[in-house]
Order: sequence, then C-alpha cells, then structure tokens
Amino acid sequence: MPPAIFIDSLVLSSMYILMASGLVLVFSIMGILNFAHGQFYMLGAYAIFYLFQQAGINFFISLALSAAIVGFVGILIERYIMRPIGQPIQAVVVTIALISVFEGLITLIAGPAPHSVTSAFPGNVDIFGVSLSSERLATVVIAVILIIALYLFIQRTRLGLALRAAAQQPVAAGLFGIQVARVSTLVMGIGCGLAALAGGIMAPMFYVDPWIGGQPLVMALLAIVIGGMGSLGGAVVGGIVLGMIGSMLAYYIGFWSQLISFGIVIVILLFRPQGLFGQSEK
Amino acid sequence: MKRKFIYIALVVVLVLSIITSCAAPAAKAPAPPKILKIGSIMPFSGPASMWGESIKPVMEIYRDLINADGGWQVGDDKYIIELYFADGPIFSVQADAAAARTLIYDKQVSAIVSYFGVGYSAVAPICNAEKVVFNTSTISMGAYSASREPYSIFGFPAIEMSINQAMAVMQAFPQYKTLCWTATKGGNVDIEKIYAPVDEEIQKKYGVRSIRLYYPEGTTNFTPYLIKMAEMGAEVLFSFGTPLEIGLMARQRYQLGYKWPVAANGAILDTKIVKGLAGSEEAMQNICGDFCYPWLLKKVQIAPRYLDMANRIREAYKQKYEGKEPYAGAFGVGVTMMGQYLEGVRMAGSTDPDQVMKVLRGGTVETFLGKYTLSGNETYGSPVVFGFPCAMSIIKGNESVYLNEEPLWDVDHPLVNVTDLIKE
Amino acid sequence: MDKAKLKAKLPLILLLAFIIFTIIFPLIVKDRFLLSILIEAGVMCLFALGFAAVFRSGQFSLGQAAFLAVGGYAGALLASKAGLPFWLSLLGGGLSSAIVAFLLGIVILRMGGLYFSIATLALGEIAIIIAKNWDSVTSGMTGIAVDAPIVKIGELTINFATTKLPYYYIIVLLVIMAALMFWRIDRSRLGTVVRSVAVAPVMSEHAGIHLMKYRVIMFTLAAFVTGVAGAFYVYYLSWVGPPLFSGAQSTVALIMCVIGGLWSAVSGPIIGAIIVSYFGTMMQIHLEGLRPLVFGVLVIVLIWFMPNGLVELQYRFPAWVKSLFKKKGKVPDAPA
Repeated sequence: MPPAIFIDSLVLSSMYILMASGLVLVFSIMGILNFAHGQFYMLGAYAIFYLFQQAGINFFISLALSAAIVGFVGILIERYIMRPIGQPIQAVVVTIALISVFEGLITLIAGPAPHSVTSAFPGNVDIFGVSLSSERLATVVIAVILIIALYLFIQRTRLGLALRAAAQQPVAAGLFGIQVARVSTLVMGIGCGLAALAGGIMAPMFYVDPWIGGQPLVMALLAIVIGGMGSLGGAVVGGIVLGMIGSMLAYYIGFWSQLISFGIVIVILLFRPQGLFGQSEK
Repeated sequence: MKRKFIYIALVVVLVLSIITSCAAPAAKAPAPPKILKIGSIMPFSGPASMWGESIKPVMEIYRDLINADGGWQVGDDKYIIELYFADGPIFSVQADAAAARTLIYDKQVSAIVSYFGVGYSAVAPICNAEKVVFNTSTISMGAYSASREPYSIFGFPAIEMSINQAMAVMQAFPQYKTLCWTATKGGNVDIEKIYAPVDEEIQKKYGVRSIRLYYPEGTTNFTPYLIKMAEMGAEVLFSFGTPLEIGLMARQRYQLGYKWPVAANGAILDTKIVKGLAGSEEAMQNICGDFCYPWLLKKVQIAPRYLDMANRIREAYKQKYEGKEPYAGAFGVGVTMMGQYLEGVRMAGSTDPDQVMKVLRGGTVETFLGKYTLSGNETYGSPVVFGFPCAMSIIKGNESVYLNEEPLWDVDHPLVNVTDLIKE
Repeated sequence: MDKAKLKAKLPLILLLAFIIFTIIFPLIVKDRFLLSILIEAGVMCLFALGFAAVFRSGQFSLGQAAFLAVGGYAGALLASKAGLPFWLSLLGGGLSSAIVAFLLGIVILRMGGLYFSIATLALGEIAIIIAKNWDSVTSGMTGIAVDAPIVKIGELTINFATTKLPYYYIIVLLVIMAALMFWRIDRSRLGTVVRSVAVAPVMSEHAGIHLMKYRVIMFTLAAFVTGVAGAFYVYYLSWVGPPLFSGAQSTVALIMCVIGGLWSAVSGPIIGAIIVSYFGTMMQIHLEGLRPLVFGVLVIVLIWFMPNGLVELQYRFPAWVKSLFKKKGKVPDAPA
C-alpha cells in the first residue's frame, strides 16, 4: 500500500473523529441529535476563509477564533432557541431547519461560488525517503492534538467531571450542585466549536461553499453508531473505521467502498445493537 | 341625504374612471406586437446555482439584442421575445417539474430551452402534453421515446461530444497514449455503458488506450482514486465531474506529484475559482474544458450573422459586467439552444409547435457554434447532434486559452449507428 | 342539551364539509398549477402519515424515502414489464414495500432509538445506490417510463394522459382511506398498545407486551401506505428514477409531522404535508435563492409559537375568538 494512502486515511479519520466527538458530546448531554452539526463545520470553514485568507490572521489564531465564534453561535442557539422550545423532537426539527437557515444565510452573505483557502503548510516533506504533502501531515497532527486535549478536558478537569456526571445521571448531578442547564449550554458551545475546528482544518485542503456540511454530518452519524452513542472512545473508533474504508478500501475496491461504509453500520448494529462500545438503549 | 349623494357621486366617478382607463389604450394603440414566450429552467438555488447565474445574463442580453432589432422575423411578422426563468436546482427532479409547470401553465411559454438537469423524464411529459417544445441536453435523456414525446429535441450533445472532446485533448498531447475516463458510478453519465463498447474503435482510429475508474457521489478526497489511476497507467484524465470535483482532482494529483492534463466535459467556470480549488497556479496548469466561444473557433464555420450577434453579445456583456468575458458554457447550452428553437420558428414561418418540430427534427440549423444537424426520427435511438465544435481550452499560466478542436460532424462517430443514418 | 350535542358533532360536520370542499374544489378553481401542487401534497400526506405511524410506535425512521422508492419501482415494473392495470400496480407497489419493510423490520427494529434512525438512514442511502447501479432491473439513471393509464369503467373511459383530474380524485381517496385506517388503529386497542410501546417500552415489556411485534406491525403498515404513495407518484410523473428519492425527503416528512402536530395521528401529518408542500413549491417558484433561508426561518418560528403543531390551533383559535368577544362584551352593545 502506498504511504500516501495511509496519511490520506488518517486525514479522513481525523475529520470524522472531530465531527463525531462534537456530535456525541451534544447528544450525551442534551439527548438530541444536532442535524445542523455539518453546518457548523461549514461555518468554521467560512470563519477560516474570512479570518485567515481575507484578514491574514495567523492560522492557529484564526482556528481558535473560528472555534470561539462558532461555539458562541451554538451557545446562542441552545440558549435562545432550543431551550425555550424544550421538547426533544421539536428541537431536532429546529436543527433540521437550521440547516436551511445557515446554508441560505451564507449563500446570501458570501454567494454560492466556492472559495478556497491557501494552505498554511505548503509544499511536501520527505519522511524516510517518502514525499508526503505537509498540508496533510499538519492536519493529522493538529487533529490528534485536539482529540487528546478534548480527552484530557473531559477526564481530568472538574468541568469535565461535571459534564460526565450530567450525561450519566442528570437528576443526581443536579442534586450535587451541577447546573445541568448551564452544562448543556456549554456542551453545545464545545460541540459546535469542535465542528468548526474540523471545518477550519479541512478548509485549506478542500474548498469552502455553503453546502460542504452535508457529507461530514452523514459520516459523523455513521461513526457515532459504529462506536456506540455517548462514548468518546466510540467516536474515535468509528471515525478511524470510516476513514480507513473511505481511503484504504477505496484504493482497493474503488467506488464500492461507499456501499461498504453504509453496509458496515448495519452489519455492526445487527451483532451489537448498541454499537461497538455503547450501552444498550431500548 | 347629503351623504347619500356623495356616495353616488363617488361610485359614478369610479365607474367612469374604470371605463375610460380601459377604453383609452384600446382606442389609441396600433396592432399589439406579437410575442414569443420562451422559458428556461435553470438552477438559481443550491450548489449548482453558479451555472444558472452565469448563463442567465447572457441569454437575457441575447433577448434584448433581438428585441432592440425590432424582434424576431417569423414569416411576415416580427415577434418580440419574452424570456422567463424558473428555478430548478437540477438535482431535484420534483422541483424541476414544478418549475416546468409554472412556465407552461402560468407564463404560457411556447418552448422550454437550454435545460441541462437530470429531470428530463419528469419535465418532458408536462411539456409534451401541452405541445411545448422542449430543447434539452442529451445528458438526461432518461427513458426517452420518440412516439410518446414528439415535442422533445436534444440540442446539446452532452454524451456524444465527450469522445471528440477527449480526442481533441489527446491530439494536442501526442506523447500521451492512455486516457482515463472518470465519473461517479451510477451518475448522470454511465461511462461503462456508453463508452466501453467503443474502446476498440477509439484505439484503431486515434491510437488511444482507454481505462475507466469510478468514484462515489459527493467525493472530495480523490487521493485513493488518483493513486489507483496512476497504477493503471493513466496519462490524461477525462472527467464528467462538476467543476468542484475537477478542481479538487487537479489539486490532489499535483500534491501526489502527477502532472496529467485533467479534461472536463463542461466549460471551465472561472479561472479564479479554479485556481482556488486547485490550490495554486502550478496545480491548475493543464486543466482542460469545453470552449464554446464562437469568435475563437478555428475549424467550424459560423454563419456571419451569428458570428456578428455573438460579438454583439460579448460586447454588451463586457459593458454590463466591467469587462468580464461571458461564461463559455452560456454559448454551449444557453443562447445556442435558445437559438435552435428560434431558428426552427423562423424556418417554419410559424410558432405552431407541430410545424416547428417538422423543421427541427432531423433538420439542419445555423447556430452560434456552426451548423447543427439535429437528430431525426430514425436516429433517435442515439440522438446525436452533429455540428458541435468540441473545442477545448487549456489553462496556461493564469488564463484559459484555445487548445484544439474536433468537431462533431464526422459520420464515423463511434456512438452513432450509421445504418440508422442511411435509412433517413 | 341541544347545543352540547351540536358541539360534539361539530368536528364531524367540519370534516365532512372539508371533504366535500376538496371534492368540488378543482371543479370551481380551474388552476392546473394549483392542482399539480395539491396532487403532490396528497402524495406527501401519505408519506407523512406513514412516517407518523412509525414515529408513534416510538421509532424514528430516517429512511422512509426508501419505501417510496421500493413502491415506486415495483409499481413501475409491474405496469411496464408485467402490464398490470393501474389499481393492481398501486397495490403491488404497496405490498412489495410492505414485504421489504417486514423483512427488514424483524431485523433492524431490534435496535433501539437513534441506532434505528441511523440504520434506516444508511439503508436509505444503500437503496439509492442500488437503484442507480442495478441496471438490469432499475435501468440506472435512465429510469423506467410508465405510460399514463387508461381506465375503463363500464362505458366511461378515462385517459390519464389528457387530464390530471383523475389523479387528484384518486389521491384524495387514497389519503382518506389511509387516514381512516390510521385513525381506526389509533382509537383501537392496538393503538393504545403501540402508544405504550413508544412511551414506556420497559414498562410495556414488563406488562407482557411484545415490543417487536407492535413495532413491526406499524413499520409494515407504514411501508404499505408509503409504497402505494410511491407507485402513485410514479404513475403521476410517468417515470421513475433514482433522483426522485433523495434521503432529504425523510427529514422533510419529519418537518411536516412536527409542523402539523405530532400528537394527532392523522390530522397533524395531513395538515403539515399540505402546508409544507404548498408553501415549499410556492417559495421555490417565487423566492429562488432566498428559499432555503425563508423556509428554515418559517419552520423555526412556527415551532417556536406552536411547538405542538398547527393542530393546536383548534384549541387556541376558539379561545382567541372567545377572548375577542369578551373584550367586545365590555363595550355596551349598540342598539340595532
């Protein structure tokens, strides 16, 4: 197998993992699937386009800013739209409606034409005599750092503890003084910020237009059920599996890899109806 | 009493004013100009809206120029042309059908032209039931049947032209011998079914070896497919993808260190956008695309009046949009397909759809891109449209320039069943 | 006493009036564009009813469009290859869709909650890939053309190619039949059990209810109705092909159900489907590029003000009218 394929599958995996972990976080606390998650990815990509490409701010600062801005949009939406509506199924429909809202709004502001972001890491690097695109290597490295940071945040900080408690036993967590409502606002912000980061680091590699959010969302949905809902580890495994199918398997069997990515979800769920690492849900 | 009088007076004034306002123009105006209504379904929302937005203004300028000349001569009358557009996001068949219904039922157009979406089979029944001429691209012929759909014509050879386009590129690069056709599997163009049977003929006639590779719909990461193509020995790519896919393919092949020419069957949208998608100027070199500028064609003879009109359209467009060149694809599908219908009306000397179809089916018309011979009843099994220039551009430096041309007027075209033609 | 009786019968009277209105409507208003929107709205009604039925058994299907596709392709194949008459093709479309749903259901309905949703999403995508690539049966993107049916009832011959009016009456009939069926089920013991399966699966299981059985029943019934809708739609468009059944349609069904009102089995989905198809088409025609934005904002605003859907209006509207009269009542009535 050519080494470029290996890097390529890591790139895809990191995109899916970042998307899936945000989706899983929001789901575990709020109990709803955020169908507009892909559009937050798109917003993140546009933020990078405007901050890094147009305004010329440093790539990493732009990334942080885009995550903060999009995370803030997510917080506003949770606080002023989702929470007043309350009921989960209505909230899900609101997220579906938000897809059109964001896509329409961005088309209005930035136009339907695709934009591009210059790579912050141009050129190729030689590793053990193999020439690899430094853009792709950098993407993988950034993604790995982000995923480790997210893991440490959830496992090692007090806020992370509150988050886990609110996810497992919201009522009990409330009794112990955790403000579950505030935690869910925060989690919506973090989840959307993660999607924006994914969009931001992928933007220079692909392109930016108002409709780029659809595909990553579908893959993230598949990733979280492969791994099992409500577990970050599951999202990572699901992302890696799908990334490998989308790249390594695509190299060997071409077009049919897409059928495999959908098929494997059903096969896994047949044998483990709660995903590889999830808890059973009736 | 007083109040009653005021009411009566008001009513009388109102009635009088209505009568006079109705009667006034009728008394003054001479015979109203005859109007020819033409409709077009194009994407103005969704991911394909770039095409609609860049083709529409060119068609509108053509309409304005015809009307400024006093209208379109049909028999002894001059017709003022009215052009109506409806939004069909071209990937949504239902929306395209709804767009066709508004054009036909509300605007009462006599033809729908320049359609290039995938909804032919949903739009055609609506047009044919109302005797509305439907001029569409062969890309979505669907389950076409000549007897059931007598008012459909295929004015744009999206399927047939690709072989000639690809060969135009191959002849410009004689050092390359292996051509890789690529498209989504199960997409609009089934390259296996259409082009695989003519592999040998292409090899015999042009000395080009054909290979094929498919990718799934919505792919943005072409790296695994490109590596596979390289292993299969590809030297030139010919893609049926969208401009976005072409740009990403070019970028990723450059990152992998391949310098292949990447040819698209559609026109290059805008070199600025392509440069963005490809990531750098080096990566976008050797991207080829359809090149339908009438004033640049070398092998195709264009009737002087159309060349003249094309130049007028170009000038008017440049004036309106600050020196920008009109989109090349607007001449391929936009004004050319509109022109085919207008030419049919002129030759028939009437707007009656039956007479127009009699002229157009199997007839030869002058267009912006040379003489077109539209398919007749007999050739409808393969609705080839002869005359398309199949000119290709190539990106050199920052510009898209003329590369080569391989017009589709050759009866030896591998996709055409020659016996069908002889019968006619 | 009399007043109370009248009040109890009011919904029935209103319903009858509405049905009569739908029947004479196209005879008065001869707008062919409106007629075509109403026919498509009827198809969406059946689709939304099916979605609501699955939803009310506690499952949330994101792949209902696949059953539209199965019904559509089966209907088209039965009509064009086997030459079955119109009615039998509709039935065949529904039955084949129901069979597929039953076989899939006994396997995938074991998955709870969102796992089921994502599995159906994946199945919907797989169905489209199959439709695009199984050339010998579906003819890929070319699709299958279906000739307009010519129905003979005694002396009367109805040629569906010349007028769309028969389609309208057939879809109205189909919607009424499906609505009656789901309404009866909702009122019956089966409906109660299905609701308990949805609301409290664990408790129901302890009470001796076989969850899977009821989920499969509702899933199959919904697929039958959706399949009939698919076959009808294919006849109406006279063509079937993969672009007709995008996965986005399943989420549109959810939007329809929520806008109409999820807590009524029949009226909510029907109202939602009619409103969303009518305004959706109108927006597409008049707003072009602005459509997605306006559509999304309208949906959010509607849900914001009426989280329980438009059916809520039947309680809100009388209260509002009453409050109007009360305010007026404060002003002494002027003598006539």
